[in-house]
Amino acid sequence: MSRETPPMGVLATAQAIARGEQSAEAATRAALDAADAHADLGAFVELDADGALETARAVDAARARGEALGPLAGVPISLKDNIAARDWALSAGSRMLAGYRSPFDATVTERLRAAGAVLLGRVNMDEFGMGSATTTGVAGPARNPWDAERVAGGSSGGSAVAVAIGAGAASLGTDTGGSVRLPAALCGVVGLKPTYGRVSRYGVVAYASSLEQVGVLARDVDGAAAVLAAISGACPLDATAAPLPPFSPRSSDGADAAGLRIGVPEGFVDKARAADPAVAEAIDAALAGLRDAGATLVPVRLEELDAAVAAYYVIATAEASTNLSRYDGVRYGHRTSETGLGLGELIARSRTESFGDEVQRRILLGTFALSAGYHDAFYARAGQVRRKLANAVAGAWDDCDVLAMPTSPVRAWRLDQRFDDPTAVYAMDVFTVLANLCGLPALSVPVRSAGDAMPIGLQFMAPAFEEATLVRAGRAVQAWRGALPMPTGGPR
Amino acid sequence: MKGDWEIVVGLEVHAQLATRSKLFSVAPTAEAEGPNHAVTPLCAGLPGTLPRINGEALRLAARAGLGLGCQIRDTLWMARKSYFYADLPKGYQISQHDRPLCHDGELHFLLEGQPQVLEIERIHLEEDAGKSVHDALPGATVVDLNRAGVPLIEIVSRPGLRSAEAAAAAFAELRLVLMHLGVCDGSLESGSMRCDANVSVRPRGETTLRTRCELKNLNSLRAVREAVSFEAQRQRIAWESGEGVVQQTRLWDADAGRTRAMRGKEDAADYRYMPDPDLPPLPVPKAWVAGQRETLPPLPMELRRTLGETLGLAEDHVALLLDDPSLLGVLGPRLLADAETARSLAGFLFGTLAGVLRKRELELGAVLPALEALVAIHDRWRAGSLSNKMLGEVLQAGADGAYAIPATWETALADAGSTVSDASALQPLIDGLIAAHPAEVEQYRSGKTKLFGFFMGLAMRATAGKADAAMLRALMQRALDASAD
Amino acid sequence: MTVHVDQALLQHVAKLARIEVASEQAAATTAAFAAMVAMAERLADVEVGDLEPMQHPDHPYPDARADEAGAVLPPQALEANAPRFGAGGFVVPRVVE
Ligand SMILES: [Mg+2]
Ligand SMILES: [Zn+2]
Repeated sequence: MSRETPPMGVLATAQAIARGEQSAEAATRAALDAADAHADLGAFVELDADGALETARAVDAARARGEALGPLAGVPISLKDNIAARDWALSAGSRMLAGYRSPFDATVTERLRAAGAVLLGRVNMDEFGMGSATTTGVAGPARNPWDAERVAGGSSGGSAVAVAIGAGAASLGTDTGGSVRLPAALCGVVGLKPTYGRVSRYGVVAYASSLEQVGVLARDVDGAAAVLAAISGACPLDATAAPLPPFSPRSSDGADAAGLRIGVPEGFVDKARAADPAVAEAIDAALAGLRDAGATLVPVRLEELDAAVAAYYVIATAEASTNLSRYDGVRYGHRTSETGLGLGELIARSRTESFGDEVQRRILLGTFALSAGYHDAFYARAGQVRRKLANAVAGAWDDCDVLAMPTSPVRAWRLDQRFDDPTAVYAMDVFTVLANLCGLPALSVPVRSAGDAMPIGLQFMAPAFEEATLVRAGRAVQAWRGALPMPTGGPR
Repeated sequence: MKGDWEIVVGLEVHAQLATRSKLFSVAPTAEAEGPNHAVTPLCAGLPGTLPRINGEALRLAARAGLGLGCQIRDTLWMARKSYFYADLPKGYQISQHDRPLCHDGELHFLLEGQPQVLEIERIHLEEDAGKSVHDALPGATVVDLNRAGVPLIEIVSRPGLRSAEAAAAAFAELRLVLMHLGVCDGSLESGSMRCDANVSVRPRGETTLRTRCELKNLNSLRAVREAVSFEAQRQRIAWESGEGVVQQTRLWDADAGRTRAMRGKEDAADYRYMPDPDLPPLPVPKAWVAGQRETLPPLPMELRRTLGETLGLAEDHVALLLDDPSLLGVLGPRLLADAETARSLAGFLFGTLAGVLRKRELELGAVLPALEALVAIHDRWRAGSLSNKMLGEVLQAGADGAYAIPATWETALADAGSTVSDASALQPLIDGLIAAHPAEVEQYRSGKTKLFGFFMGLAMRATAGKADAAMLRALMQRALDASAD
Repeated sequence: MTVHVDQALLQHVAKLARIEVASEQAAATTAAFAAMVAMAERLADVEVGDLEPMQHPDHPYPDARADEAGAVLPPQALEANAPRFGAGGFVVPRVVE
């Protein structure tokens, strides 16, 4: 990396543009340049340079006319390639959707536009969000900006890389089982998964509907909060969007660790210690730092963590198996070029040709879990385990304001590492799936690593719709930690 | 049935709910301009789209349940029913599974005048699929998604029917009940109601049920009767021959007059039902349900008693009134006011008026928008201020005019009411005209008979056009010809 | 419940899912599938009593929508993304019912 000063975050960019210290066009050009300079990290699937510059110039013109600017006016932001933007391609990382263009905006896209944000382009992801490393998508892998031979984490890996390299102040990702927080942790940026229902899912290519939320990746906690404020709130097109006003971060929430009761689930950090001692050390150090700054660490018992991964994968794949049934080659998307097939064969052939291996495996597991004879032991039971976990977590809020744990049990692994057993990768989600199963907000904040430079994330979970508490805890970590350096690994 | 076999039938009826928009999307349910003209991104199952349930569809479904005496569940649970088909855009139908909105009700109906009860197992809410058109392009099927997402209820009865006639009668009554509830327009031609029947047979006295077949595509009362009857014979023969019956879905072929096994339906389906994660359970508050129950209209069985037994209307008039709830909507209060008026009005509408309309190949339904005006005509006639002859003329004039518009009938009535058809009033006028125009009378007499129109014109002008034209013509003719000799 | 995962079960599930598993991949896919099922079987170890399965977070959700018709897509927008479109609709191989 050649840049000496880190790129500006969401709030600094918005402020500089509002005050006329920097034009939106300049901010946008800087983001596009960063994307070009690091093209080989595979962050972007497609840049919309013309559209972005046009929006930026419109913001500058509006400012010149003295018009009121939106809260994100001129702030360059990228979209994960499963979030619809009118007339953009939308692939969800799948060959199935090659050539597909969405005739409508996702609600979050519409809200970003209304807030004045500059939409840079589509960023890389695992196919349909199914992965923890951004390696299963049709665009190829995203690479970790700290070491290009390592994974970026997934499935919103493109978002994390884009933000880390300064190609935009923020990026919208989606988080079904950790897909915002995990890449944020592995790439050293902030990842915020809102409460289920906080943000509309309309226009987001569905993977697992009862688990996922649009989340924000940004350079700092306040940047993520500002974007969440712009995209959240009730939506007439989504029956799962809570009928509540948008999230509004309060400065009064403070940055202060003093008085914050941090629940530390027993055994969680040790689980990471077994997998990657550096992660455990970094988390221990951060928690000690917060305690020294006045927080109270409260031991909490949460059992059945291993079952959480099983419950998550059964529920997520069951929902996915039906969510992905619409991809049949009839109305849009890939249709096999083979002729002479009956309708049933045409559907099966088109799906088989265009879904990747991991997507096919998950559709198979989900179909199995719902099928006659297995439904009760798998799908229904996973729902019961989910209820048990949610009850246990709900019980923890009597004693603490947030729960703290590692985001990932390990740091970024090497791209060439082979996992013959797909469930070995699923274990990376052990700390993140809990928030999705319970529908709770969670935040991953980078903390200093004790060993090498590869980033490590500390994760907080809070009660439903208490994102403000997450912001407070995240600010406290940032205050303890200080500024982070820019990525050192750079392109190969 | 021959050979002492008993027919056992249960019905599964799909009825389209009378909403403006679809069950989960804002696409209109009204007839579209062309194929795929009533399709939103959700109707086409585009990536990222999400359903939001239509509150009116829920209300109508609950009213159907209440009208059939069902229990209404306190929560609406929608489920995904998965199968792949070209006209099923999402690869699943949003329906209900083990927790239907309405359950355990009864349909009361008459069979040859005898009251019967059919138990209703459940009523659930679901979306329709699109339409596969097989004759639009050679060798291909074309999918039209206009119907995809149209709100339906599926009413499932217990196997409580014991004859083809009972099946048809139950279906007919169910149609009337839904129409009077305002839940469904009841149109069988347009597919607003579709009936499937589960049919099995068993030797009389046997208490267990034998293998059943599901008959599809019974889209008329006649189809229900004939298909059930055919299928029962087919199964009896299959049992008697020792061949037996296999559970399958069979299609009624009305042209061939037989049922045949449907292709592609031979697999035992595994629909992999799951709660729809896009649609969290929706509370259906008890107080709201109570409010719906209180505002139910009188239903056909009760109306039959009121109209037939209490008011003494003829049986066929009762049937006609029941067949069109909008008729009752207008006439109800007047019919109920007193029995004599009711009988008179029914006779007027279904006898006199219907006769005039029939000659013009019109149905009573065509003049429904003008029903109030027609009632006013009836009242005038009944009060004696409109002769039978004049009534006939008014109805002819209205039927020949813009019959669906009330003003047409009002004008016809006003004209009739003010027509000078009194010979004693017209004769002095004619005499005066003849006296005032001797020259023209002379010309007429010498053969210029065209001048008849001249005299008619003067007379019409003198009466401001209110003279009864036929009578005037006759009187004028007589006067002019008389003066000739 | 212990599930015996073999190629027959895999093919049964694949057929339901409209996924084709070629015979040369069947062994590898079966192994991966078996590992996934084995992971899922851990659910049986959790004592759940008669807990009601949780299908959604217990959050506030909106009421039903009003019955108002709104904008539809122009058919050309459907055609633009369709693999085959003709006679006003999506064209698929002839289906016989
Ligand atoms: Mg059925
Ligand atoms: Zn149905």
